[in-house]
Amino acid sequence: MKHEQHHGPLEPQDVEELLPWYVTGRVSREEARGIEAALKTMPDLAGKLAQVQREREAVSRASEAVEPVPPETLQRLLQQVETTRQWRVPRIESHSEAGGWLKAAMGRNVVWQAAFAAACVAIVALGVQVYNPPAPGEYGLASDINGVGGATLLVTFQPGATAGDIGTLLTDLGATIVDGPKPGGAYVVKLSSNQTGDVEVATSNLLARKDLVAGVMAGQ
Amino acid sequence: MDMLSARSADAAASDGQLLARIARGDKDAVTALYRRLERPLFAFLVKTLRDREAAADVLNETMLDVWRQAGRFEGKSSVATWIYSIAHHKAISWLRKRREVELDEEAVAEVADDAPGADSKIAAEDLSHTIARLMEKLSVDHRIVLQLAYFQEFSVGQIAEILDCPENTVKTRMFYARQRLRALLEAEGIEGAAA
Repeated sequence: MKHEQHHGPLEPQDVEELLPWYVTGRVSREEARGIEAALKTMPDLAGKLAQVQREREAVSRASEAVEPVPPETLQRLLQQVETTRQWRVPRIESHSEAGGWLKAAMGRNVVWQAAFAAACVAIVALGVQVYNPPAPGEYGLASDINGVGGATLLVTFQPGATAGDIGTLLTDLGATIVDGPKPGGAYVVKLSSNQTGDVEVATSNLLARKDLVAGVMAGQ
Repeated sequence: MDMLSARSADAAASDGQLLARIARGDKDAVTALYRRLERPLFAFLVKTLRDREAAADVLNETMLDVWRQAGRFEGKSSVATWIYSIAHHKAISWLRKRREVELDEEAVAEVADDAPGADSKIAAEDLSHTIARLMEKLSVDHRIVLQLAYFQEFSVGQIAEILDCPENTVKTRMFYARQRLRALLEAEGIEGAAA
């Protein structure tokens, strides 16, 4: 969310609106200066500031009085952590910051993203050969495959797709990334074993998300 | 590294570093981040939900989501803002299930009807205590914005991220929350406390 900065002198209404954040020191230096100037020229502002301080004190006191979290909450959490799968992404060891893998793979550079987009177009044609070189005529579109348990697909994503959006899409489809990126940027996506016979559906669902998915090909 | 050293390392780690470790499956980092956030986050949830048991459940669900989704965190906001955003979303879902959002306005209306007169409770009650008590009567949106600004000390921009709304909405909501509080104080006969 973009921070809306004040420029120029603050209007009296702006000053009053910012008082709750002034008392907690969460206004910008410029805003603080504007409020302090207004305190000198607006006779009733000091009373309003005092009221805000009383409110803040009351809220803080009431919140501090909340009894601690029951100790079993952490135990329960840690038990659930043991049995809860994390949303996994292919790990790039040199970019260990959380969520950085896709950014690292694609970057924010416009030129690189354009190049990536071009590569995505190419990979739709090349992906299967790169991943699983078949004899000519032995591969086809994912929609030609029926009923392969734990089937894999080669998926290329749109350059602007975020890791979060891709993760949500795959989670919704019961699919996970198991390998990649392959040369050209394709990822190997495995469907869950209970999706036997649903490869066509999964492919359609992926292709339906044109905002995220650039292409889908059958894996092995 | 012995346990004491590990704990002090956890204490020194930034929220972002702990979250990065969680994304790599480090369960000790879950405990460390939980310990860091449990008190303020639990207070926020108790004040929002007005139900300790539900607050503990939502806290648990929130931290489990942090474990599950740590790899999705893109650093567009601070870790605390991200976690409070998850907690807020879950708290609102819980309230919707309880239909408290709709019932809240009715509860506020009832306050004006059965509020004690100026001569009764107020004399014996600290003004600050009165304000805290009356805040419990505010709508959930108003309680949340007061909590996030006054106790959690988030900026306007951070609150806007947590609530997923424009900054001007945050300021407007705060304005009306305070106005409602003043009205409740006046109904209790505390005219002078109103700004």
